[in-house]
Parts: sequence; C-alpha cells; structure tokens
Amino acid sequence: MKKTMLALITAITVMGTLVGCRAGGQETPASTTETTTAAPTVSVAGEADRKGEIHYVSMWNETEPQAEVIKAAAEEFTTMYPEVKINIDWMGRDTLKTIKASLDAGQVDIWDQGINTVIAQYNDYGYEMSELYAAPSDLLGGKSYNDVANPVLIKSVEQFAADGKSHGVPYQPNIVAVFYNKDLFAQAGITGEPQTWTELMDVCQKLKDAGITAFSFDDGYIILPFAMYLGRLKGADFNKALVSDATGTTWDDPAVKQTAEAMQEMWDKGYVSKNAASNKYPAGQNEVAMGEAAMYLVGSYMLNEVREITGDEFNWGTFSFPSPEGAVMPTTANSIGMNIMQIAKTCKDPQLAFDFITLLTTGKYDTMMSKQCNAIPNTVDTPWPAVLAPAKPVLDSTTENVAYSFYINSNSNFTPIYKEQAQKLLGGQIKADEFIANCKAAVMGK
Amino acid sequence: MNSKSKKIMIACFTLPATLCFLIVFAYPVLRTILMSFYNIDNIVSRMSEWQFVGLGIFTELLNTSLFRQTWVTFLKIWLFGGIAVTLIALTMAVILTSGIRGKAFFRAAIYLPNIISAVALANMWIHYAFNVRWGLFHSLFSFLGWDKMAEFQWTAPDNLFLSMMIAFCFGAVGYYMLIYISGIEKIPADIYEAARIDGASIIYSFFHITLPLLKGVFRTTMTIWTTSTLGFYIWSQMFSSNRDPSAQIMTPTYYMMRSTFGDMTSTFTANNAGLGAAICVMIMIVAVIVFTAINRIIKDDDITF
Amino acid sequence: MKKNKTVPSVNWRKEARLLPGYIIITLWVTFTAFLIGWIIVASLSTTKEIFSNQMLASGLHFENYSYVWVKGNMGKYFFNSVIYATCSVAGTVILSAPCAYALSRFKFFGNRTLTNLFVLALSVPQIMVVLPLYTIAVSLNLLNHRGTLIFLYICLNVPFCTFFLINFFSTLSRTFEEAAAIDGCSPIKTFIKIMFPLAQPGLITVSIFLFVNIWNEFFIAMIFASDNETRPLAYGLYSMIQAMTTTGKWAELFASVVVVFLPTLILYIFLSEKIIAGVTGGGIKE
Repeated sequence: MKKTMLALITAITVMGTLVGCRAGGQETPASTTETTTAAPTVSVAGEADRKGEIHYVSMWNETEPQAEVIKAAAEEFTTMYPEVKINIDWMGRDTLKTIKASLDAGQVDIWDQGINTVIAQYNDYGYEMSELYAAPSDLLGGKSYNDVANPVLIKSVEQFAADGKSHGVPYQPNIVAVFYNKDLFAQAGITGEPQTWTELMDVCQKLKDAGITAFSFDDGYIILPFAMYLGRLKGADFNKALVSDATGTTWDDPAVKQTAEAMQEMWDKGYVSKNAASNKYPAGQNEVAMGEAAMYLVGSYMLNEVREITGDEFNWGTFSFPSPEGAVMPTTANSIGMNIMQIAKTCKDPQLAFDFITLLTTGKYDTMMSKQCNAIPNTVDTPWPAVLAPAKPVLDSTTENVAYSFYINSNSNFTPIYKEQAQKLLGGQIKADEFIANCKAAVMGK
Repeated sequence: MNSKSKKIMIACFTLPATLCFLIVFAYPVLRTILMSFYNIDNIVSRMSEWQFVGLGIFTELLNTSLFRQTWVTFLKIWLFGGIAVTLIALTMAVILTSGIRGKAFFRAAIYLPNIISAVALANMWIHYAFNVRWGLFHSLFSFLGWDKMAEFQWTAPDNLFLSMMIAFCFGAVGYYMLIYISGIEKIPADIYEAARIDGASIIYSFFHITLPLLKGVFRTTMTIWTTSTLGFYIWSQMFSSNRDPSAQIMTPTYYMMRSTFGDMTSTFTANNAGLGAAICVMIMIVAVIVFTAINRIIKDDDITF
Repeated sequence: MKKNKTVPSVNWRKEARLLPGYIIITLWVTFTAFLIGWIIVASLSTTKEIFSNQMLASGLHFENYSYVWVKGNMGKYFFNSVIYATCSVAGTVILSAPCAYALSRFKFFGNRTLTNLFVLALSVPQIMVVLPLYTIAVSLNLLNHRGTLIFLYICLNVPFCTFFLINFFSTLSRTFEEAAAIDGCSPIKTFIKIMFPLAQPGLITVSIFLFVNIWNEFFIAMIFASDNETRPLAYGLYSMIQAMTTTGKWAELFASVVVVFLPTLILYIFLSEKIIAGVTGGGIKE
C-alpha cells in the first residue's frame, strides 16, 4: 500500500513539474554531425624495419572520440609495421595519480596530459625532442616534423619549460579569446572587430544602445578579464609578481587601479549581464549561446561545449582580447592551451615512439582528430573543423603564447579569493577600490 | 560454558573485524601523522625521498590566510548547519511521531534525498533551484509577488555559502530525522499518556519529556554530524566552478584534496603530500577535541527504559 | 498483516490539533517532489531546453538514456556499482555481526577497549586514512582493481556496522540464548542458529544503509578506482561532469543522474518499511 503510494508520488512529482514548465518554444534543429571525408593518406616510403613495443598511458577514456582516432592510428601503425606492438591503457584524466610511480619504474613509453602539468612537474621525465623534430621522416614524405607542425605550439612547449627545451609533443591546442555573436554585432551596426580597449568600449556602447547585453560572464572564466587587461598593460611577469607579493605594494601600482576601474566601468555603463556575479558555469556562456548576450571571454573549446544549444548555424566571430592604451603585450600574445604527448626518458626506442606520435598528430589522423573531436589541428596544412574555424584568425595571428589567465592564477592560495573578488567587481557588487583593497589584504595574508 | 571454547569463539568472532580496523584505520592514521612532518613531492614518493621539516608545514599552513579561512568555513558549517539540521529534523521527527496519518509515507519521502548522490543533487540545486532567471526560488517568489526575494542572487560569491548550506542541509535532514524518530519511539508511550492526562500540551511534553530523554541520541547525532562536516568536500567542489574554487566555501578537506592530488585545471597547486597529511592531522585533532567536549557535556548516564 | 484493523472514525479534533504538522511536512515533501521531479524532467529534455526553461518542449527524449547507458558507459559502471555494493555489504556484515555479538554479549579482556576503538574509528574522517592506503595501493599495483575497492569498503564500514549491531544485539532478549545454552548448544551454533535469524531486522537495516551509502560513495572510488573499467556509477557521474567541458551534453548528464538514483529509489520504495522496522526494534520487544 505504502509502496504504491510512494511510487504514485514519484509519478505525481514528474507530472507536477511538467505542469510547472512553460510549454511551447520552438523546435530545436537536430545537430548535424560532420561526416568524415576521405583525407589524403600519408605516403609512406620504405623503412619497414620498425619493430618493438610501445606502452602508451592515455589521458582519454576508451569511449571518447579521441580514443577512437588513437586506436585507428595505432592499428594502421601496427599494420604497416607488423613487428611493432602498441599497448594502450585508457586511464582517463586521472593519469596523474599513478603516472609518477609508473614513470619511476620505467613502465611507460608515451603518456599525455595538459601542457601545464607536464611541463611544470614532469619536464625532467621527458625525452628531449629537438633532434627528432629536425630529422626528416619517411612518414612525412621526407619532411621533418618541424616543417609540418604549427611552430607556435612547438615554441610554447620550449618557452614554458624550465630548461627552455621541448620535452613533449603538443597536440589538440585551444586558444583564449573573445567569442561573439556576429548577428548581434550586425544588428547593432558594428562592422569591424575591436583591437583596442577604447574600440571595445565603443562596441559595447553600440550594443547597449541597440538593447543588447554586451558581455556575459560566469564563475568559470571570470578571472580572465582583469588578468588579461592588466597583463596586456604591464606584462605577464607583473601579474605573477602581483599575486605573490606578500608586501602588497604591487597592488598600489596605478596600472592596477586603471584596470580595476576599467572593469568597474563595464558594469557601471551597463555592458555586463546583470547576472554576472551569480552566474555559475556554464550559465554565462549559455547566455551568449542563447543569443541573450553578445560576447564571452573563454577558450575555444567553448564553441564545442555550447554546440548542443547553438547548433551549427550560429554565426560566431572571434577576436583577440583587446589591448588598452600603452600596452606592453600586443594582441599577438595569447593563451594557447594544449595537451602534451611525452616520450619517457626510459623509453627504449624513442624514435619508434616518435614515429607513432608523428603518424597520430599529422596528416590523416590529425584531420580525423580535428574532425571527430572538434579540435584545432596540429599541423599548418590540416583543414579546421567548421565549428572552430572562427578561432583560426586569432591563432594564426598569435606569435607568443602566454599561460592561461596571464599567470594571475599562479598563487593557488590566492586564486579562490581573487575569483570571488573578480565576480563581485564585474558583477557590480563592489567598486574598484574595494576590489584592490580586498585582493591586497588577501595577498598579504591578512 | 567451557571457558576455553568461549575464548576461541570470542577470538574467531572479533579478530577479522579487528584486523580490518588495524589495516584501514590504525596503520594509516599513524602513517599520516608521520607524513605530516615531511615535505613529500608526490604522494607515491618513497620514504627515502621525504624531507623532514618538523612542524614546518603546520606553521606554513597556519600562516596561509586561505587555509585559516577554510576553518572558519568549517566552523560555520558545523555550527549553523548543525543547528538548522537539528531543529528541522527534530521538528519533523516530532510531527511524524505525533500520530499523524501517512506517517510511513512522509518519513520515506523526507528521507528520500539521502539516497541520491550528492553530485546529482548539487547539479540540480545550482542549475535549477538557485537559477536567477528561471529557478524554483525565483518562480516561487515571483508567484508570491516577493520581487525583492525573486531577484536574490543565490549563487553570487557572498550568498554562495548560504545556498550551499541550504542544499546540503536539505539533504541531511532526513537522515537525522530517522535517528530522532527511533529515539523518540523508544520513549515509552505511557510517559506521554500520563503527561497528557495531566493536561500537558505537545510543546510542553516535547521540552520536558522528549528533549531530556533524547540526550544519548543527541550525542550520537553530534558525533555523526561532526565527522561528516569534517569530511565536507564534494558540496564545496560542486558549488565551485569547473575551474577555480570559491574561497568562501572552501573547507579544510577540499583544501587538502586540492593540494595533494592537484587541481585539474591549475598548475600552481602545491602537490605536497606532507601538506595534505598535515591538514588531515589538524582535522583529526579538531575531531578529538570536539568528541571529548561532546562526551564531557553529555555524560554517559544512558537513560534506560 | 496489520491491515485487518477496522479503520477508526476520524477524530477531527485530534486531526485539527495536528494540522500545523501536516502543513509543514506537506510543504517539505512537495518541495522535495519539485526538486527531484525537475531532475527527471531535465533528463528527458534537450540541453537547449534545460537552459532556456522550456523543458520537454520538443517531446520526450528517451535517447538521452540510451546515450548514457551505451556511449556514456553507464551500463558498465552500473554493473561495477552492483558488484561493489553487494560484495561490500555482504563482507561487512559477515565480519561485523559476529564481532558485535561477541562484544555485546561476553565480558572478556579488551572488550571495552575494542568497542571504544571501533567508536573511535567511526569518528576518523576518511581523508585521514586515504593517503597511506593510496601509497600502498600504488606500490603494490593494486590501484584500479575491483577487489581493492571492495576490500576498502568492507574495512571502512566494519566499525560503523559493528557499532550499530552492538547496539542492536543489546536490545535483543537473552532468553533464547539462555535456553539454547541450557540445551547444550555451543556459542557459535547459538549465534548462527538463533541470534543471526533474530537479528535479521537489524542486519537488514544496516545492510540497506550500507548499500545505499556504498552505491553513492564517491570519495574513495575517486581515489582508488577511477579508471574506465573499475569506476562505479557515482564516480562515473562525476567524470561525466568533468567531460562536460568537451561535450556540453547536460540533458544526458541528468539522464545519468537518474540512472544512478533510480535503483536506490526502487530499493527504497520496497524496503523503507524494513529500514524503519529495524531501526525501531521491530516485533522483538516483549
């Protein structure tokens, strides 16, 4: 009897919420998946003497599209060279929990993770790549890896490493930029893309005049605007010093005040979504995806995340975070994130491991990876997936890679406090002075 | 009974459980305490790679304002959450034992959130209940015409703690209510009967019969509450964003997880297992202090019926 | 069973006195229903509808469920969770029940100490023990094995289970045992033949508690069994949330929430009376 009642209430529950829901709304077009078109096969000449075993500890889950591509590449590689065996452990993102033990024990040949982790903690475990990069390869039709790979990516790895050398192969890059709704821009009569902060403010004003919310934020990426404005103005090293300065004097710099006031101005002038302070990820990016706001500052993977909402018809545009007047860091410096495939130092045959990585990250499989996973390709020749195409001009114009958030997150004891302050500042809950005072106090450990 | 066979039986009965205790509690606790005196680069580092720093990590932690703040947060959860959950759970327990109809159904329905994983509940709260634009609270208050309340930014930094506590306590109430109900039902009905004949109201009986007789139950619930709030982690994680934690809802356990196993998205977390162990030790010390206090305040004079 | 009682005529005065109580719990339960109902409705909508508050505008999307079950691997995780929960509960009860019986019935050297240790273990926050256990698991190459997680769940739950059953056994009458002892029954036999059946309500209660807890357990699973093959549902759900940054499939997320939640709900609907009967001591009271 009571069982039935409980079952009944469950049913009623559902019904109740149904009634509570607003009915109506338009049909959503079914999102179309891209079909894989035949890509030119890499011409492979001779050198069938490859043999040995490769143990790859993967950061992907077996069900993810990345894994399917990797599997296909491994299969082709072992078919081409029957004496090669590739063992893959699909660990998922948690490789970090066990990788050190495995690396120490010499059980790993290849493994992968996000660039920051690999370079900051495991740089010394990786084989140095420069010779392998420079050597011509039959898998690349006689060209070297350096000839085909995107130089910005390779340079990033060297630039972030303590010894300035490359200890891993970058793949699946992403870039942080302002993503906007071209249709809304057109509706407000905006033609160009803003390069400077002043131009950005003009754009915001025009959007506002047209009754459009210019910017949307949520707590996922709210640490970026202040960080990138200040980074452009004073350089990334300034940001680094700012968040670790126990004396707090860096916060008295007029540039900090200027930046905080620029953020406050955005709110004061009504350019920011009124929910900016309370938006929880992904509420902010969804506002843009639903056409309720025009711009969002984020990594390019966002395009993929909101695809369920936008479909493939959405008219995205992208521009690099604009630079304020007197900036030392031009708009050609941006944050490019990527994953790194590292060949372990203990690997018995680094050349063989590299050959497999070469096959996987160039040509056919690079195309396949970018198509099936909607990732930015590694090599300059590979066509971009349509979803990410808007980010291409920004990546192509980028000559310098600066770490995510221009190092404002480099003090892990400060980031959570800073994040809240940034939410409040951009969400109009505090003024620039309070923001600076609160951050300064937190940095000083008060 | 033969005393030797009795001894064998007791040994057979108690040894396996004791062994479990030794492996999973005694040894790890001791080793964690040891670890807290060392700098340990990686949690799987061999002991020979550890660097002895004495109480260095403890002083370092106590000098970190974010870490100190996590303890304030814990205290707020423990105290305010504890009061709220106790009051609500007791009210529910009293109502349900007052002879209402459909008791079993209501009891089951109120306990229901306990069987849903916290990850699921947290998502529902964040994306539905607290949504400023079309969330449950927004719709409810708009319907009631309380426009000020309808515009309340539940998940803004200063309100995030409150929101998280509402979500957490809502789920916790049912569990404690069950414990209180079983406590109340152990109180013989004739005591209430006698009180009623004497003309006592429900409220009078509650304060003069129920509460005093529930002393032992309170001790149990306080112990359970303390343990669960000291391990408070997943709600903080879920109520932070996909990337960076929010300072005001960080708990010691969350801080420990972040510094030991690293943040998925940030390179700059410490990754010192010794630091993680030191935080564990602090949590343990607090636990011991709280439990001692509970046992002192609520004496072991179990009321038996 | 008890339904042959004649329904007494409604005592309106009494009901009126209880009205405030009715109102409070009805509101609470309605609120709960809305929250849980929303999850269920969200799981049948599209992501776009969820975030524009137009849920179910395009009909029911049961494909969310087939997606999470097959592509999202929830089927596999479901199987894992079933194994973890059943094995761990069985193991815990088998280890705890005799121990609790011995501790509650016999006076012996170390009895009080052992009881106190279990109570102490009850209050050890789990994070206090995970670091060394994790180190051991890594060095013995036992990470991401089903057996490791089951072993840990058993050991971690033994103190609670023992503590619970000590209390339960002490509510049981000694008359049967005394009778059995007089008949010359050995203590072990007495336990298996008489106490175990007598203790059933308590054992069921604690089993269900443990089952639901282990089913929803997240923290230990995250650390010890997080790979694709061994992760249980609750952690699978979490990893799915992490993967949201590449998929954005929120409707599917809520579908997996329901997949995690439904078995415990069904179990609960059918067994909630037993839980409560166990907690309140059932028919054992003379």
